[in-house]
Amino acid sequence: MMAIYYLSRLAQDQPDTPETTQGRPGFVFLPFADPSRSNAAPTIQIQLPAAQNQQPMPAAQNQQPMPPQQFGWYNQSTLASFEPWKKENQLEFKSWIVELLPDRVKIVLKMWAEDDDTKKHNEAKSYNLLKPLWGTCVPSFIAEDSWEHSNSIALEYIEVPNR
Amino acid sequence: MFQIPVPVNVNVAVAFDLARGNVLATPLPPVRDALHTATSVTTSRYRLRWNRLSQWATFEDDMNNYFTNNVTAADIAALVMNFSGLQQFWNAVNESHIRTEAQIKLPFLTYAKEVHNIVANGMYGAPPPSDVHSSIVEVDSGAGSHGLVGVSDFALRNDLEGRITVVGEVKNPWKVTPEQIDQVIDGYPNYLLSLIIKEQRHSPENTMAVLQSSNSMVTWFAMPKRLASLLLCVDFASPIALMALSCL
Repeated sequence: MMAIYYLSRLAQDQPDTPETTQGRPGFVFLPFADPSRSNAAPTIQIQLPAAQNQQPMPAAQNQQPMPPQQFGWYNQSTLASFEPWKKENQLEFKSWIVELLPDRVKIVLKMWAEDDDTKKHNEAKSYNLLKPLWGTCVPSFIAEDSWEHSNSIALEYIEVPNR
Repeated sequence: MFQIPVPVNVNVAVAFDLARGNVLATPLPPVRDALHTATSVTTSRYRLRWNRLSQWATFEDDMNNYFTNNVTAADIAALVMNFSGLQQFWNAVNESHIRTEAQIKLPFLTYAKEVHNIVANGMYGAPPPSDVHSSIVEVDSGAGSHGLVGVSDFALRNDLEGRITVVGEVKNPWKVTPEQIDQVIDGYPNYLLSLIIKEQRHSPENTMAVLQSSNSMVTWFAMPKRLASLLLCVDFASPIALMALSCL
């Protein structure tokens, strides 16, 4: 109990230290571990800005869209601005226009409020089945989140001109 | 005819008879390693390996220095709870059989959390100490998530600022061997331990990390903070800290 008492005192005044690039260009990226295996976990990465990173953006994979309750959080490597309160970002029910880094491409973030991720997986599966039609008949599927208690997918944003 | 007995007034003021120093010096109640009914392998998406990890070799000295130079005699002597109350917390945990990870979490929350929050945070009418401590809080996936993305076994919370200062996991100490600890320090692939970031980093107030062991049973504290950045594992069956590490 003395050790815990000492730690609780020590913890009380310690400031938080967010991960930084330690002066290097780029941004901090926290990769996800493989949830299906217990192998070694990845380390924190520093990724280069878009201009210095010539790697093409990967196709549909686990990204980290923002959980609905966490606006403007750290993972700037994926989502730039998520401002659901702005009228111009609001689409239909629980869908918003956001920007995807590093290229600041507009995408659509679609969310479900329930903790059950069945709907998210169903939608992702459906989009993957429709892959030949991506970009022509249906928007391209970009990613699904892999956060606990968060269910969202990212889709290509298609601007439809007013008729 | 049955007469409803007169209820007890549990809200009445109680004269404490145990000093803070005596409570803190009381060993944690022992628990028993029962036949395990489940294996626990960490497969969380939020696992991250630390960049650097080193032993906090001066932990014992630092702690003794704190008690010698920072904790006042008045704080040590202050009466904070009753012997019968402490005994009840103790009996609730003493010799309990631990089969799963969930079961080792319970003794921690039943004894260490409650007793700590009495002596360190003035819970249940105890006089708080003159230095301010974070309180131990439970974490769940709902409203009690404290803004964390994941769910840790417990957390320490700065109640004045409303921010989490430590997140912790409770593990089985008797499953961690000295060799495995050396391997972790030496940076071996973390089959033993994995650093899990369960944090909401959108604001600097919520930066934290959890250390999780895949198949061990130690109480881990991890604070990737400027000064401490500490990881401590406390043997729940003993009042002595087995090992303290600092991950800078």
